Amino acid sequence: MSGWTHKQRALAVVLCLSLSFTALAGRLVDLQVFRRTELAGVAESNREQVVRRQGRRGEIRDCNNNLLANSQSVRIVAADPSITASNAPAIAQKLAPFLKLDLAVLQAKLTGSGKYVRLKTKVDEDTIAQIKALNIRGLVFEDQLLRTYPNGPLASHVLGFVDNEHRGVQGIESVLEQYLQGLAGYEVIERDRKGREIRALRAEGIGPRDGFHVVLTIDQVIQHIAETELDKAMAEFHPSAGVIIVTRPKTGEILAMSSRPTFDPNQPGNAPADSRRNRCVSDVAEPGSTFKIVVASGALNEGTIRLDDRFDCENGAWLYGGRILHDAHPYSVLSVSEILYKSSNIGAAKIAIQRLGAAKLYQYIRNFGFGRKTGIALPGEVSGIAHPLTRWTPLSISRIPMGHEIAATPLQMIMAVNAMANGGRLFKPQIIKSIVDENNVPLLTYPPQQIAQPITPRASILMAAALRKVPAADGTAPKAAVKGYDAAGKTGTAQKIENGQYVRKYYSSFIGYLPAADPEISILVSLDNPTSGSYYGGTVAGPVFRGVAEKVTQYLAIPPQFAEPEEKKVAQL
Amino acid sequence: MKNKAAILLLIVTLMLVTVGIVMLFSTSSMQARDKYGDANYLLKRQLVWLSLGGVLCATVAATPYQKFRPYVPFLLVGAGVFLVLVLIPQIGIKVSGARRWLGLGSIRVQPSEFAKLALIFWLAHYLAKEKRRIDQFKRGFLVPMAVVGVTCLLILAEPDFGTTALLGAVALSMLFIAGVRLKFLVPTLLAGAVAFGVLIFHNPVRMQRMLAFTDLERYKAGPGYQVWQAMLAFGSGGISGLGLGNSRQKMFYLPEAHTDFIFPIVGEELGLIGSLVVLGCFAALIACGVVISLRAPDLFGQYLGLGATIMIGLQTIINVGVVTAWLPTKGLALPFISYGGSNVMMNLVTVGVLLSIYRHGTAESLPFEQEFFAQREPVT
Repeated sequence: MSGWTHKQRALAVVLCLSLSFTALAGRLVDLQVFRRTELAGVAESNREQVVRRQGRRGEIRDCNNNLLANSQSVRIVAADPSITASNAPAIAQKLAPFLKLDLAVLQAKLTGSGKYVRLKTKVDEDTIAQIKALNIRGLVFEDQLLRTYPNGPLASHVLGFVDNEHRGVQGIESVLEQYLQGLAGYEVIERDRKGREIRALRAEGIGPRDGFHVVLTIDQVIQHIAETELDKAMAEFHPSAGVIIVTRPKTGEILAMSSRPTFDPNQPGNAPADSRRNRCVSDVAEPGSTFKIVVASGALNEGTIRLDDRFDCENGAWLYGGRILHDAHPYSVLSVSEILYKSSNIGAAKIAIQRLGAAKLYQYIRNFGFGRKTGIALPGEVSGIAHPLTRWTPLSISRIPMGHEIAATPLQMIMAVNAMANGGRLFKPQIIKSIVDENNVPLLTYPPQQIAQPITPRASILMAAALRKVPAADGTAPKAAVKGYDAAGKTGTAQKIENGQYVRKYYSSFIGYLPAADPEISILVSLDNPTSGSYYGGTVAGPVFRGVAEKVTQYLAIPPQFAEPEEKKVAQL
Repeated sequence: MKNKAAILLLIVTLMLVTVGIVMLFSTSSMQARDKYGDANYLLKRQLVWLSLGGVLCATVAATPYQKFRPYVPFLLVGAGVFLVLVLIPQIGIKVSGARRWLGLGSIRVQPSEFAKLALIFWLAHYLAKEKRRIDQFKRGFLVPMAVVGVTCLLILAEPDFGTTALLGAVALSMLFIAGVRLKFLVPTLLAGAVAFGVLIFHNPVRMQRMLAFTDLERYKAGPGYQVWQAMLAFGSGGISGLGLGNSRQKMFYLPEAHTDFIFPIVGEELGLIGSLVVLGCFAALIACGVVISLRAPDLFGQYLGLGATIMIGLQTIINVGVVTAWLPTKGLALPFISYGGSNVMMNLVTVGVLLSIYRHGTAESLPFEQEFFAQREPVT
């Protein structure tokens, strides 16, 4: 090489450079052509991300489309106490004005144990941005769907609530989960390395589908009336529990359904499980005297009695089957009407024994819907107890007419009374009116559904004639009389059974409807073990019925049957 | 031929600078906006340096290159002084572990960039002067190697392995071209390689980079991350590219996308077509540089031109080799295109030197060199 000229050596160096360039060009072809698919795929998977977008859970509305439950997206500020604890006072000082929280409370949360503590929910975006700008270590910001029940505990047993995953747990939330729950969608987004979405590059995706809205038959005003009156009754009579149901007898729609004790579905965890139970469908009790209407309407339907047929009520004590049957007040001879509105156990038993017979009685019990679920669209419904004939004892036929040896839910009771009130038609109780989409176009509508015709319209009219005397001076519930209205109803005072023994505790109930001739509403009031003074259905549940009825008739503008001056005459009847 | 070479040199230089500006805007706007709040921040700075470089390029081109020759020793000493200054902690500015910058306010320069050109000038001068004694050990090897060695050690101390290796390679090439005996050069090359190996072995960061280089798949999340992302960028680009401005890898996936790793973004946005055009521009630039150099009337001009050309060529090869995972990661900029003031400015000065060699090839030369080129055909 020493023989080469410097130009030749220069060209040798240049040749090396040229070869390198050629090789690099080859390398580029290799990377950009032959390995393109492989490398581009890796690059894509590095920055592309499939993001699940949850659909919004549908709303629950009352029959007038008032909001009872809805979901909203909220931002949550949480903290990791294991990080914030060391510097809690300073952090609390900084955060308190933004979160509008008490300094001491905030500081306590920040110094707590564990790795997660929620500081505040429903924080708006601007505040979040301001807090983020403070650059506090240990804070966590989350998006969360929050289920809110704007009316708090109102209708909580009907609505139910959702769990942490936003799934319905109880009530309508649980039953209609598949409709309320939205369909999740997805989006393919590209992110830069810092995790920020590059919006310009948003690619394919399927948007989430929001859940459907559920329209209930519940009317929030009537529900409010019922709950207010129930609260008043709870305060006045101190029962351990109570329910009020308001329905429309002609359709089986439930206008209000309330149960005490209650809970706030916004914070379901704060109430014991016992308070969350919907007693209207889940609890059974012996119906007591109210059940006499089943016997009477059955016999009237069969034509084996007339309202003016008279029965000897044995002055309050009648030996039957080796046991003495008592009346609360001794009566001698009573008409069928009187047996009902004065509530004679002996009279009712005699109607069953002498005019109806066990088989027919059982048939009517079943036809009125006892011993089986009503089929309401609420979870936790029970069938109640209506023993088949084979399990009846010789005494049964004297006990069942007065509502012993049988157990029913409050809902079963009011649906049976509805059947007596509306011309003999037993409806399936209806709580869902329709399911609608986001444009309020109905997806499903639920028309009234008649499931049986236990008695004829004629028997229904006869029953009304007898029962309208209950909320009157001679009846068992004069305090249930509703001013201006021709109401009908039946009291019930059932002794409670604890550990197989009757104890001195009572269910006081009143089921009534009005106007008696053409019922618009029916109301059930049942209080479990009232402890202040009286426990009779007429004196305890009766006034509650009146309280609800007066307000509901006013709200629904049901025309009164009596003008003011005639009022006294009615009362005297 | 020579005329055309100069025009072509000018054209490809302008093309590379243009691609550089466009790509710099494409790659740096996001990072600049994030970091400085102004998407054009880095672009503006680069444009200032480019303008300065352009003026210097024209000035150098307008000046007969022989006029620099008397000042060559001063250039070298000046470069040496700066290289020493930059090592002094109170003066040199340290960025990510390397003290490479001298600065005033927000203006920063890399003395090593200046030293590269100074050393090439001096080597050209010395080798041309000592042409007759070039096969001697002392004159032909020891003296130039000592100067090269000291310069390289000063740069290595910053530390800047990439520039050291580049400068060493350029210097050895120049010595080789000038006719220094291979029996001196080859052992030097081997000794340098071994020394480098030992240094790398004792430096955990560089050792990691070396490991990543040998097994990229395995180290792609750690030390090999940057190169791996560069490969992904090339692959994403394919033949026709994602389109100007559409790079995804620049979204912070590929660190230093606007400096040393700008070429993968060229490949990603402009595809194989774009990357080959850029590579072709460099090849053309080198070809022009070689043609112009070899037509220079004196040895000083020839050596100077060849040294400058080889420097740009090697720097390109190393940069592209690194970003395509064929060479271990070195912090070397892509000439004309990567962001970096000293780099683009000195690249343009280098082009200015080549243009000066072209323009002033007929100016007076030293007598013994004229004699040496007695048989040379007259310039037409």
